[in-house]
Amino acid sequence: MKRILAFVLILCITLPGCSIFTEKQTTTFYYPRVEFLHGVADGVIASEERDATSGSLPYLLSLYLIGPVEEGLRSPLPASVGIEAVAQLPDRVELTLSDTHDVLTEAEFSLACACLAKTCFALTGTEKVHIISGSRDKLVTEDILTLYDNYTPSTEETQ
Amino acid sequence: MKSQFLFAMSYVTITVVVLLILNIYCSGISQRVFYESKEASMIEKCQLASDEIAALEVLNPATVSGIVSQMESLKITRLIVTDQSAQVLYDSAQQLGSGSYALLPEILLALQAGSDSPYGYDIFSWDYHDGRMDSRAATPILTYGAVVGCVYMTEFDTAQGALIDSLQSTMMRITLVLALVVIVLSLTFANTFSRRLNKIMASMRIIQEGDYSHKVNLGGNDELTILGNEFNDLTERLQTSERKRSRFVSDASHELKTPLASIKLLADSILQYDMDLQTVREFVGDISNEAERLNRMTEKLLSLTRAERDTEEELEIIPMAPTVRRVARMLQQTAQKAGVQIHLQLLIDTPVLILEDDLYQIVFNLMENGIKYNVNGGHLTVRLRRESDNALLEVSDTGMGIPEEAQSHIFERFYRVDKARSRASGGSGLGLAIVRAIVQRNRGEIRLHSEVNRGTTFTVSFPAFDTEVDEE
Repeated sequence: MKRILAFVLILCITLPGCSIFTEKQTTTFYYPRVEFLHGVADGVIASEERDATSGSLPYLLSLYLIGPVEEGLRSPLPASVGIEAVAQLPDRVELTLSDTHDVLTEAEFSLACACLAKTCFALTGTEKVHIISGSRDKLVTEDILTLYDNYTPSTEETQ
Repeated sequence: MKSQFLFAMSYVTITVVVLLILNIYCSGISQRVFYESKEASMIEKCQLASDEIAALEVLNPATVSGIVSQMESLKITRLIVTDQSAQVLYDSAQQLGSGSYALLPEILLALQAGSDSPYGYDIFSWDYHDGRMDSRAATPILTYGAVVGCVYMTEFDTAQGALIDSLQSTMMRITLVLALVVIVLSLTFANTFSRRLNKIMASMRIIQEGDYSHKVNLGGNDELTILGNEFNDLTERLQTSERKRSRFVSDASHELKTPLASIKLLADSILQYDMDLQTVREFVGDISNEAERLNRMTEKLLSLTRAERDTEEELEIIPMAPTVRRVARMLQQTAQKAGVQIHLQLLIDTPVLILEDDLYQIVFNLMENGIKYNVNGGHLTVRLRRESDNALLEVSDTGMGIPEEAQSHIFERFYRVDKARSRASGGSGLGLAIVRAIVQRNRGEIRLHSEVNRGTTFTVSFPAFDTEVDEE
């Protein structure tokens, strides 16, 4: 039995393209686009796959805050804004950011929260992200974010 | 590759490219017109709604819903009202609840709106596909200059979309039909042109093989027809030239054969028969005369060949009187023997541009003829005259004259009015042909006036060159 197991292990090591040992760990980060006045399909937020070994959420979020690699994307938060605290609770993730009142408008803060929330959804599998920044407080779930207008009217509503 | 194909394809390519460019341009223009019209309409509606909502003291789902319901039908597909954080306050499609965030491009840009925004205050975008025009517009809701929310509208217009579609498809159909017509016409024209050109080329091949009588008939009334007619003229001249050459060869060989035959006959007679010395001397004398005649004819043929060839020698401006006097001196004895008096009227002497040898040949041949074909006791008068810009040389005799039917042939080679008399006087029939060739080569003209039994006058005219010339 042991010999059989050892043989299988050796086979898996030596066979090229053996996905078990050669598959890369990737992480999905969500960033806003630099220019987003396009058609319906594009939306304001785009994802970026990054090579990253599994790590803690604070580590991954600090990696996220460095900014995107791809051209056409930008960081949702200015450089002066950082994550002060990260808490992973059973039903949510709580993020505490430094005060953004003077550096982001309400709409920009909403966009940043959407990007952070989508990233946390992908990293942790959680369904809720609570973001606090000074007096701003948002509880974000996937279903309250509308990034595309794909509403198709009925025949009567079309002119 | 055939030239007709190249011609047709280049014409078709240019036309099709131009048509396509026009098609694309017109299509773009029409879309642009629709776009600007739709933009103005949508922005106006957004601003109307924005102004109404801006009047509210408090913006919440209830108040916004209330004010929207009071607005007259905006004839739009969807209306979304958000607060300044893009949180939905109202959605006419009832898809987005009041706690959700509408992070749509137009809404986010409108919320960023301001004088420093590259998009200004009003945002508009559109997308045209599948015969439908999807328009989106957003305007910020401003209260005391501050952005407090956003009005977002969408409109799906199939009527205008259908119009754009229809216009584009009509233009494309017109383009295709025009392109087809151009292709057909180009190929037809190229084919017709090529066919007619091939006719000319086929005729050229027939001419090359020696059939100069062949004519090409192209029909039509264009440049190719002119080319065909010119070609026919050319072949006719070739044919005439060929005929003349044949006749000349035939005449020349006949003329040369005659004295040779005489010489042979006389020589054979001397050899075959026993003759006394006196008779032999007579026969030998005749042989000498025929040889002399042969010699003269050969010299005249050579003269004629030289006269008809373009000379490369430099011409000179010379008066005619000295040359006339010299010829008269040369022929004085001949004239005396023939009983002909020579009269010279050379007071009006105008210089002409000519080689002296050519002038001598002209004067000599004309005066010699004037003596040969004169009567005993007759007169030969040589006159120099001036007629506007021409210098004239007139040689008149009181001889037998030239019948009218012969006058048009008198300058032809070997032509003689009276063959018997001409041969007796040593004529070859080439003298006047040589005169005409030389006159024409020197840009002159020769005319004749003759009456039977009264005499003949030859008038040669050259352009006058009025410069001072040293007298000989």
